[in-house]
Amino acid sequence: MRMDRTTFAACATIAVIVLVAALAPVMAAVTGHGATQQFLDIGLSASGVPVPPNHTFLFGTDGLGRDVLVRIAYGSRVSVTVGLLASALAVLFGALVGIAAAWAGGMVDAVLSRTMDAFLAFPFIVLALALVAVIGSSLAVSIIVIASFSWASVARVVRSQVLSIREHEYVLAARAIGANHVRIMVVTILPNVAPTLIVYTTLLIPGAIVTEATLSFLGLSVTPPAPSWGNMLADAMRYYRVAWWLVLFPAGAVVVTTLACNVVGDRVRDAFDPRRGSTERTGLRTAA
Amino acid sequence: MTAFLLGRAVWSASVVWLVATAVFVIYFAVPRDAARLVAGSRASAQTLALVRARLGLDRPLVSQYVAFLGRLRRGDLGESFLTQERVTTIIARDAAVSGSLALGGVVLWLALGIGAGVAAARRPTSRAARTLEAAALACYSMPPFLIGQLLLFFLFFRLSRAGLDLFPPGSYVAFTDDPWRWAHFLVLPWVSVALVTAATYSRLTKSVLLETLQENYIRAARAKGVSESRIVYGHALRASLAPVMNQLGADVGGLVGGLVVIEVVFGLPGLGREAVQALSTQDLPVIMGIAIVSALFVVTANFAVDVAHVLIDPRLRTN
Repeated sequence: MRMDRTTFAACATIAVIVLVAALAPVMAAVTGHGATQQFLDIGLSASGVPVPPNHTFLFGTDGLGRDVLVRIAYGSRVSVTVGLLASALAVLFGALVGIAAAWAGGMVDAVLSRTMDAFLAFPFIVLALALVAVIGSSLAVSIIVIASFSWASVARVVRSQVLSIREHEYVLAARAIGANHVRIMVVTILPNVAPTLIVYTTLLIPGAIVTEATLSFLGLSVTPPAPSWGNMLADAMRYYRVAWWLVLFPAGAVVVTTLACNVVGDRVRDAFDPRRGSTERTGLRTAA
Repeated sequence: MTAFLLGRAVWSASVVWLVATAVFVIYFAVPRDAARLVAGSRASAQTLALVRARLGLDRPLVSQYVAFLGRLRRGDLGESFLTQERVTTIIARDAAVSGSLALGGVVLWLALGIGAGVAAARRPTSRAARTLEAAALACYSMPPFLIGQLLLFFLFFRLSRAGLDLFPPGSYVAFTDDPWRWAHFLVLPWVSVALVTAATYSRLTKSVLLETLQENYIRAARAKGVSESRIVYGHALRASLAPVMNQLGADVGGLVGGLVVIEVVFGLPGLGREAVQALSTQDLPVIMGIAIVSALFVVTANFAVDVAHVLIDPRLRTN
């Protein structure tokens, strides 16, 4: 398997982030700082402002004297969880609806297609606000909200692919030997849209991470004091004039993570699409 | 053509109805005492009963739904729990801010996105094109609020501390009061809105343009001796506008979300910030009203894109 340097760096970055997320409690144990623990004596200066990066607090402290490094590590758990679960849910549901719409055709297809259009046009953040206002915010709610507003794009692509797949001879053959609808959809058609599903999952992950950060920033996701990158950046708004580290480190975490995911997602898509990309850009082709 | 537009209009209306129904379900069907939110936690049973009767909460759900739709049809979105002000009044007051932000943001993002896309398509292997592509990917990977925060930090705070007051502190001046100050206050928010989305458009324009430049009619134009810039701007770019417009229709929903975030970051008194503030005070009618109005806006914008599509693409006019 050959990879160009950018792809390799991106994959390595993702590995590091997943590792940090997995080992967050270890980091808390090594530093001796809990994610929500306030160090009012050594974590704040005499005038009560956050302390810049030093030997005890490598990334500095926030407005309540909490260790920014440990909070970022715990925040990565939120981002990784939401990124994976929300995209997986969206792709699963989108694939089911897309295949069902294309296979059934007629009225079912018309209704499902219109529903996809409606979901794609919804002002998502505003409806998330309305929903959270009534049922309250939590990580599970964010995952469901993000998934329920991303499945439609997957369903649309899958539907158009299945429309052409269903005309192939092997589908006709499956019908001829008496396979029922469910069997044809799951056994005959699903494996043929699998490449699209893989590409979409990798492309949805960075989007889900960005959306979760945005929801957290607006106070619609993980509830403080539990850390997430978005709510850390919302807290930083109050201190950005005196404490650059409150913006720089969580912002860096978000950007590096989503950038790495986007690079890998692009390469995966190129690898599955023979029309795109030259040989030096498709280092992942053998892996795929 | 009329059939196509009529179909789209019916669809638009049904989406608004769906959103309104979703709002009603969230609002009324979730077990929660709205009367207590209005009257406060120390209200007597008598006051609660009065409030309930006034809001119609004592009637069956179906008749509440019918009444709700009837009020919507008359353009009545209810009153704020907090200030008793009419929600339509609040929305009318804030809409100018959100509208200004949206308009400038969209113009700027189309200019940036299409411009960068054309530049990249004309010299796809140049260093400048690769730099643009990397910058576009970086912006694309950033949450919208972060772009706003970074602009606020570097262009506003850092510059003004260095004694260079390019951008004023404070939030918003109405266009009718002072057009120059209006634009001056909105420059940074506009750039934030634009940078978030421009990347999508530069990628799209580049790929469509590269494809179009391979077409036979472009080769014919070249053979005829048409200048290269005329080929790009006069012939190829026009053909790639249709997908760009489609994308614009698809992005309106995202734009509304972007506005919410940018308004919060820059403290602009628009609809988005109003909704976020209403969340912390549990002022449900305001949130629900803004949700319905933004759905109406998204649907209207999509319909406008459909109409423009028919006007631009002659093939849609004939069948």
